[in-house]
Amino acid sequence: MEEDRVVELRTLLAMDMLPLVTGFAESAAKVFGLDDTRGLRLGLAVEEIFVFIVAQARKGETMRLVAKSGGYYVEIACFVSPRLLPTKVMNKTAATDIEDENFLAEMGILLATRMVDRFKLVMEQDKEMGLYFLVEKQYSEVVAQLAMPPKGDYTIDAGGRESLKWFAQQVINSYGIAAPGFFRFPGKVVDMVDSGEYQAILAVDGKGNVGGGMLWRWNGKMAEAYGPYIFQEGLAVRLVEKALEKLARSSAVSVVVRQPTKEFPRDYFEELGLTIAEGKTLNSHTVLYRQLEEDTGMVVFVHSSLQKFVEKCYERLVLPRNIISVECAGENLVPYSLFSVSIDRNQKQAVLSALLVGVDAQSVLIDYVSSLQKQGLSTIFFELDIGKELESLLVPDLRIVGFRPSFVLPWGGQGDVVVFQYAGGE
Amino acid sequence: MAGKFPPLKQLVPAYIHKIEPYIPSKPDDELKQMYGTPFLCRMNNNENVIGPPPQALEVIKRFAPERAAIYPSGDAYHLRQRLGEIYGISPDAFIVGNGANEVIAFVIKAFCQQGDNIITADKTFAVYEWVADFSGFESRLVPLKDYGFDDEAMLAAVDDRTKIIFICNPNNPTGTYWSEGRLRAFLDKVNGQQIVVVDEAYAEFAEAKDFPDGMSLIKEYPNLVIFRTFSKMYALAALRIGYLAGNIDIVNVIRRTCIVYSVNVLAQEAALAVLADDGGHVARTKALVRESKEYLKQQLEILGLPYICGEGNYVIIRLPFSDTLAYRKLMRMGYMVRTMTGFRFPNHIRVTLHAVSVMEGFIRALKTII
Repeated sequence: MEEDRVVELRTLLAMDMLPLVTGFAESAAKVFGLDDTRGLRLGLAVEEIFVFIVAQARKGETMRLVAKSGGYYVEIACFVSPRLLPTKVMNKTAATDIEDENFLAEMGILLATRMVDRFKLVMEQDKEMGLYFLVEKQYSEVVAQLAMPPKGDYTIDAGGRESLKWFAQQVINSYGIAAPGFFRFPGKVVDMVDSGEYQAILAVDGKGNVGGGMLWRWNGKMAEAYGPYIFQEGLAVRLVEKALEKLARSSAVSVVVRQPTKEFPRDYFEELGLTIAEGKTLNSHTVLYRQLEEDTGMVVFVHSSLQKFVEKCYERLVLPRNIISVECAGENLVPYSLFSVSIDRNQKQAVLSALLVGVDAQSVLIDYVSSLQKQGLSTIFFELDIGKELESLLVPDLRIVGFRPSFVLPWGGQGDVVVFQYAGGE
Repeated sequence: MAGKFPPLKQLVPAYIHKIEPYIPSKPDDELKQMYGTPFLCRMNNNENVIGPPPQALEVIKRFAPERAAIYPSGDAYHLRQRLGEIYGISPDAFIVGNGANEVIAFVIKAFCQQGDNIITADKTFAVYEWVADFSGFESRLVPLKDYGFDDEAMLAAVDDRTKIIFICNPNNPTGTYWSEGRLRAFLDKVNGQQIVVVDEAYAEFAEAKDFPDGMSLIKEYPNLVIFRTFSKMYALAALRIGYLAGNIDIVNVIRRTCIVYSVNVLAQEAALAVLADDGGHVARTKALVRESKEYLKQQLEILGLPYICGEGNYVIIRLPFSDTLAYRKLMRMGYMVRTMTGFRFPNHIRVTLHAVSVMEGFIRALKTII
């Protein structure tokens, strides 16, 4: 991300600063390319959160707002002291039903999250709480019937903007609903790659034909890849090898492919397990995974009820782990849990994870699932980081709420992550 | 916490944010416990399995523990004097570092500033690229051609902000090399416009008759800087000592960025001792590597596994599955290899050559996983 695409405002948490804050948000949205309607949504979200937090603030406390152009989106992050965001409030934010009038009355923050395309809450490295509001730009859907490319001498490189747009359309032509929805918007794909958050490689011949391609994005230390999408035979291995070469000395330590295509050369990756994308038709996918570095082992904390599942995964994947069995022995936990939720409305998918494990975890999780389902999110995952001691205590609650362990994603968080998928309550 | 936590997002430069720290392998005892293996054969770091020459062993044994209280020579004075005698150049034309890795950083810091770039290959020793990247400079990576450095493509990548060209000769991990003629032709084309670093970490293993002695070219090419290490052939890896040599005026510029006193006294004295070796250690090592290489090549052909093998005490093997999975499976059987994805050779492993008796065990383990 280029530094000139980031602007920052630090302000006192005082109501007379509100015009400055909303002005900042709306101006940044406009300058970074959101249309008026979407810019207003982002401005209103920031306004709501500011008003809410001012009500909790003591004299002299501040908020830092950072607006960033991500190419295909504009994001405003609000950084405050964790004290200003009581855990109970934060859980309610994502979990509460929009019709809950009582809660709505006190929670401007809820409104704020509903106005944006993605919201996430992160405990930052420097001990601030970050509330991220993201609104995507609007793009035209372009789905055209294109001729398949001819046989030829294809080379693998980043490709130009027009090649990328052609590639996106051909992905939808060839793979239909099996491909991520963003391919329906070629201009968005170009901006996603331009933003630096995604990287693409294409097989292009001397005449500009695109024979296939791959795309990936960075998700912490893990790269999440899509494809390879193949329109001309014999390119899958070359694309996967090139992708691995590009990722080899990047910040990623592993690559995961949640929905590999049928052409994927399996001998470069390992199979993790099944995930089921729910929709009009049920589709199951074998998640593929690969480490980019040597695994020198780690300690993981596993609830006794999950131990067999985890051990079986480790044995199959030949992963060296010291498993410490975790069981609640009546010790005190904090009263309130705190969960983070990342919602992708395009893919109708939500991913929950824990920030704080408290005694109310089960009821909060039930609220979350109910709320997310009402919002039309058909696929709900819970990512349990077993590199963190306390998280494993959530396992009984997760099972009762209706989550089932699906697979272990090695090094997916601070340690390995057990991915649960919501399969319906007991 | 009494003080306020520092605002890391503001304090840390953008190019550092993008970089993940290199996490070295865990100690052997930890790895053995993790993988449940009673023994561990290190085939990952291209160490010399024969061990240090007898002269160095003697120095290490005789080291008086109370000397640990005294600083070493800050610039490896005696070692540089001896290197100067051996190579017929001024002792001041050498800089000794805490392993050759340290002198890589010295050179890059001496010549590069914001906006500059270095050129090297895409599939070679990673540290040139890493040091440039975490220092905020561009590393231009030229694809190998037939597993070797591509001289024409490297020259084509040069622009007016190119300060250093790094050549690993022989290349780690492919073992390919430039002959003296090819190196001279390249230096002639560069024509002194950039610093050309030739990393000869594995030069002492080279058997090819036309393999160049970079040290002998320093007098002719003032922009040439040679790296050597005592970690590989001379088996002093644990002591961390290497050096660079070049034209004295160039080296004096590099010296401005040096951290003095970074090389400990035991390393300096052991290195000085290995220079007294009469060639027996090198000959013994070369014989072992030669025999082991032939055995391994033969076995790999029987197994139908493609390999890349050139100069140096290592061979790359192409596997029909992920190299990182192979690492884990081989570790369970006590064989630690180097995965090659990090060198941009996915599904390849690099194996350090041991005595044939050890290689037989490795082949048995390899057979069980393919």
